[in-house]
Amino acid sequence: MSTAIAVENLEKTYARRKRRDGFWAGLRSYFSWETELVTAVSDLSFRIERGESVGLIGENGAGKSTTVKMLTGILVPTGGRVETLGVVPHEQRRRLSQSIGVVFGQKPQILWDIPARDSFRLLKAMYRVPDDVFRFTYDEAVERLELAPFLDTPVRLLSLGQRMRCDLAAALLHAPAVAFLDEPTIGLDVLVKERVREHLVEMRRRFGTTIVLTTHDLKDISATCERLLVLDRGKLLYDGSRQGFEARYAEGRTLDVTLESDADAPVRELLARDVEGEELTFDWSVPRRLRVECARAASAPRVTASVLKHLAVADLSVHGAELDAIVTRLYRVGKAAP
Amino acid sequence: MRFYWVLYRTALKSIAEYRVDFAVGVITAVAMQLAALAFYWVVFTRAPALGGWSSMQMLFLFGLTALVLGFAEATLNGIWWLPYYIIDGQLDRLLVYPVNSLVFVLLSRPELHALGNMTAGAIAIAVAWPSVSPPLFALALLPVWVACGAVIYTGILVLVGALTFRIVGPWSAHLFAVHQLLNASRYPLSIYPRWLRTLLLYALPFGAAIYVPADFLRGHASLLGALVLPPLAALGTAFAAKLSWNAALKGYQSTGS
Amino acid sequence: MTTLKAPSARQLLHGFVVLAQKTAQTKLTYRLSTVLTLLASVTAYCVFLLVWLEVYRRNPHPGPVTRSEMLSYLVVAFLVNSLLVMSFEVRFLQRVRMGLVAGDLLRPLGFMLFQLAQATGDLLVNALYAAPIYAVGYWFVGPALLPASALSALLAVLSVGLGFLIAFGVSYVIVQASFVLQSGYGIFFLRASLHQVFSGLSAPLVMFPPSLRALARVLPFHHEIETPARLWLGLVPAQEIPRVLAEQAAWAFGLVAAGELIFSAVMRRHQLQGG
Repeated sequence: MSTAIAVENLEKTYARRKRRDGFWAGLRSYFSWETELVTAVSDLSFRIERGESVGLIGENGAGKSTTVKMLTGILVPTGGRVETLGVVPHEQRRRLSQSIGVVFGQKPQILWDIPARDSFRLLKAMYRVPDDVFRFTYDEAVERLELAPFLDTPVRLLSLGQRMRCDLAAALLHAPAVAFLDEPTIGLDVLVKERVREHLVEMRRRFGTTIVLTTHDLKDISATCERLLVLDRGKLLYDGSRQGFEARYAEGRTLDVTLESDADAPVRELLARDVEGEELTFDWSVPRRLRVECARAASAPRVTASVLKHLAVADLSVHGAELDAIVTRLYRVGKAAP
Repeated sequence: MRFYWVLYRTALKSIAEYRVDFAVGVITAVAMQLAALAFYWVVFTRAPALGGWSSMQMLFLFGLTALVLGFAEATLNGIWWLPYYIIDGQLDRLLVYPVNSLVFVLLSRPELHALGNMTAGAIAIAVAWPSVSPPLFALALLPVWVACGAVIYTGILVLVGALTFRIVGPWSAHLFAVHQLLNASRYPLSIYPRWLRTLLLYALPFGAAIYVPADFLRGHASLLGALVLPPLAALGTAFAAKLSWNAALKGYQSTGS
Repeated sequence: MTTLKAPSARQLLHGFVVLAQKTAQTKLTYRLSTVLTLLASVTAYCVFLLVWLEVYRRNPHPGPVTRSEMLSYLVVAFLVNSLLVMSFEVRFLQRVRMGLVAGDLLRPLGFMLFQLAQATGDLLVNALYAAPIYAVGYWFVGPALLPASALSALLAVLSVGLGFLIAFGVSYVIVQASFVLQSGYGIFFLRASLHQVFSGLSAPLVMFPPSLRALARVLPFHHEIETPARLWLGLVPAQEIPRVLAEQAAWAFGLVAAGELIFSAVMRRHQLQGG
């Protein structure tokens, strides 16, 4: 089958008990309590073909992890349909597990304080990985992720970066058809992130692994994914190519300027006229501060020059559009077309 | 099948790391058995026989219970760690592995100081053996009874532990309740009111694997009962445990962690 | 040189009360868990009860305690025991597991008071639960459960307070030991076993065989349960009461002091090694 994942009108709603503060409230809650409904995911629909590499982004609480959990069979949806590799995940969990690999970004690997090498051996037995496949995936992982120095060190003595690399290796040892990676690079330093991305790319090249990657880091996406799904408060805001997304939303630049003294109206006029023609937004709301949003990265140097020319600048920084800003903007604009 | 053996070996290897903990654990296990024995001692200085059982016969009962407890802890101990697995989110990881989640959990945390329990139990049985003077072939049946008892004890723990999915409290309180019930079977069931006797024989059948065989060994119960009842009870409990585990998992998958 | 201001006594008291309250509140939310712990103790207790009933059936006069005295003693002992159940050691061990202890050690209250506040919170919740249990016990045993006199009741309450401090002191020492030995729950269970045998949970000390009785008398455990229970039931002769209470007080403060000594020694060693 060519479809790896099919999701239709997926919904997940929880009933949560309202917590109340204070000693007497605690005592009262002994005998009665209110429940509130929380919708983590609503009306989600998308398809992922085999071999695709998809990034799932959104703020905390947007429903990314919940979606991944439903795709892997950990959670049962409260509405809609979900199918992974042709089976309903929560109904045929064990059968599906054989063909998927999952990395949970912040959760500890396996259950014991044993060296990674032993974990890998255990996984080989668990997934019944054929020797030749194992030899390749194991060697690849050890080499590319540079695991050799600490293969025999107990897990508790490893740094976060080392543990994540082992986790990634472990998830891909059995060359699964689909790899789910839930925030795999969170808390890692730049070098380690690079290696993680490389490993993903290589495994995909070799085995045609479908990749579903949840992350906060746009660079993860640009390095490994061609497609992007943006979630906000459980709803799908954007579903399309990464290039399209970047062209449309991530192209902008933001200038944050700290001024030595406030600029009065004539000066602001001069500045505005100097950069006429560019797509810009000036935000003077904070005293002794200026924020300029440029729609295009190319505008930034010219705007910077003008700012430095006309204003008494104490500090200036230019940075690319941040994911949160983009998503917030998306949310304000509403559901966007690819 | 082979995987579960590898799993158990791996779990053992990890546990074996903590040597001081092991020593303290063994001492503690022995201390716990001695505590139970101390109560025996107090009671037996005040009454010659309880429920028709002499002090040596009761020692045998005690030993068998200790063996069952020790064996269960050494192999199927993982259920006590379930609250932590849930809090850590490791249960999620388990659900993504192509394994029987219950067996995995059970095998994942052997309690090595259970060796202390088993030793105490073996010594008690050895001391009481001449007074009870059972037939020699009973020695071969002993491992069977111990295994059945361990399955029953673990099965009931799992049944009750399935509740953990809902509460996720900081401590395995409810499992201790089950543990205390096991302690109840250290004493001859004949001293308990009829309803408790029935409970401990058929519903929560610790008695099936401990009392009945011991009763047979001292010549007061039939061989048939001692041969049939323990495995039957073990199978029944295991089945009920599996059902409750599956139900609990379904609940977990509905509410998340 | 700037000196950090030590918190005033009022601040300490305030912090203490707040922490105790918070602990009680948290414990209340784990209602099912608490009820089940109670269920576990009740089960254990029923076993003791049933065994003793059998003893009296076989031998109507097994010793200096009559059947009805034994029954009421066991129920009162159970009640006292339920008051003293402390979760803070378990909590502490869990925090050790999770590596959070460093923060605890540096709190302004001081480690000992911090733990004591939590234990007090536990006590508050236990007291809340004790009321319905007492009612149930009364329903079963009847007026024998009432204190022998108003004075007995007062003395018993004082004694429970001291017993609480003793229990806390023991736990405090145990908690240090577990930290030093890097042990898991092993030591906790060791303490529980000692408690089970020597606290008077299972019988008043007079019913013990002589050697066991002698050993129990030199240990602090019987002052946690047996002493308050006997005071409540008026089983302590008047001339012995001051001695008994003094012993309790001595143990209580002695244990806490010992705990503090160990603590400062541990801290010093910790700092030297940069643990």
